[in-house]
This record gives sequence, C-alpha cells and structure tokens, in this order.
Amino acid sequence: MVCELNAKRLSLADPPMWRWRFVMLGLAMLPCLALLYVRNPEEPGFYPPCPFFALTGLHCPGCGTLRGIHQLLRGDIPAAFGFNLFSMLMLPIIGYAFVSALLSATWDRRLPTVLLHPALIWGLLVAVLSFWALRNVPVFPFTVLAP
Amino acid sequence: MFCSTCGRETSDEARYCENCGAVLDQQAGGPSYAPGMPPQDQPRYGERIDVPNYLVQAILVTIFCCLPAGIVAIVFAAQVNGRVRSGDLADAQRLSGNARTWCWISFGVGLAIGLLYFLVIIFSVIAGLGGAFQSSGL
Repeated sequence: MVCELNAKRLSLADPPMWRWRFVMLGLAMLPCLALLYVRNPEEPGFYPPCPFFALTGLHCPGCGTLRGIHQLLRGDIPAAFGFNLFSMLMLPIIGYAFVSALLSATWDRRLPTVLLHPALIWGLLVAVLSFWALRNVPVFPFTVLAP
Repeated sequence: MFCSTCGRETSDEARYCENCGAVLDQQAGGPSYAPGMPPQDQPRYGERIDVPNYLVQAILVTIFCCLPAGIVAIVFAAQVNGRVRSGDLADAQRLSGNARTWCWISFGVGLAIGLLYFLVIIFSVIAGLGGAFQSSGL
C-alpha cells in the first residue's frame, strides 16, 4: 500500500541516471564494508569520533555501530550486539529497504511494502530515546547497553 | 476542477494536484475512467497514496550522524503514517517533506563535521611535519 521502506520508488520508467546512481551507491558500500572489515574502529585515530560523544562525553544512540558492524563482519555476533543493540536490531529493516530499492532499480521488482502502524513508529521513537538515556547510566544492568 | 483526493481546487490543465500530488482525472466531471478502458490502464491508484515516510533514512541518520535531527525525522515519519491511515493525504505529503528535510539536515551536518575532522587531522599532520623539519634544522 504505502511504500514504507523506500523513500522513492525507483522504476524502469525513471531516467536511467537516477537508477544507476542508486546502483553506484550500492557498489560504493562494498569498499566501505571491506575497510570496516580490515580496520578495527576500536583502534583510535582512523575513523572520526562521534561528534556527540566528543562534545559531551555521553554515548549517542548510534555510538558503537561501526565497532558492531566490524564484529558482525568478523562473525562475532554477541560482540556486535554488545556494542550497539539498537543498530543491530535495525539492520534487518535497513537491509530489507536496501534490497527492495536495489531490485526496483535493476529489475523493476520490489519486495512487498508494509504500512507500519503509526503506534509502531512512535514506539520506535520511545525505544530510541530510552536507549539513548539508559546506555549512559553507569549502573550494572544498563552498562550492558553502553558500547 | 477539484481534486478527488483532497478536495482542493486545482487548475484545469494540471495532471497532478498541486496540493497533494494525486493523479487528477482529466475529464473534469466525467466518469472516473474512460468507458471501455480496463481499470488497470488508469493511473495506478496505488501510486497516489504512496507517501514516503523516510523512516529508514531517519534511522540511518540517527545511527550514523549521532545528532538529534534524526529523532525529529522519526517523529515526522510516525505522523506521515498517521495521516495516511486517516486519509489526510495532503497533510501526509507535507509531513513527508518535513521528514525528508530533517534527514538531509542531519546528513549534511554529520558530513560537515566529518569533513571538518579530516581537515583538522590533515592540518595537524602538516603542522607536525613542519615542526619536525624545524627541529631537524633543515
């Protein structure tokens, strides 16, 4: 019904440039993932630090995502979830949207689209904000959420 | 003529409603589809309620740009789906535009901070080399 996951429905009726731009974007991700596999973000000075963490000393909802994806690429799934639970839970949704957009750009096909109930998105908002707050609490059960 | 989706008046030659973007019926006041024409040849009705909510982009900028602007985009994404469910497509389009704007703000500011970081690194490396040359007496 409503295209929940893709911002823009790419179809073969679109100018080819638009579609190829998307395919190029997809291809550009491969060297980024390769770099993330080779260089561990835990060694300082190579990847830029999180601006929010650099300014405030607090973890943002995204802190630990690069370290998490690095661990995921190396096959250590528990470590990946330990660095950023939220990002890892969002990866299937991002992957679904990515595959769907790539299919529509290349074969004019898409994965089925889902109209999420607004309550689910409001729930996601609450989840992000609580995750942000709780991972900065320096007491045991919450320290698990910190990267 | 009036848009059959949102009810606002539009110019007679417009193919799409200026207000909500819905496909307009060209035969004003006529039947909703030409006689003898199968409905699937008509403007795809699935298209006109395709209001993107930019939720995935909002999640991406929240994760990778580390800025509250991504959170604002999630708020707008939730509102877009609320409006689509209640049938208020004109407002859904407006909120969809807001969600997109906030995703770009977050992306732009995040990118600017990243570039600034690399400039600082490059300058400090150059300054460090300059200092090394001075102390080596060259």
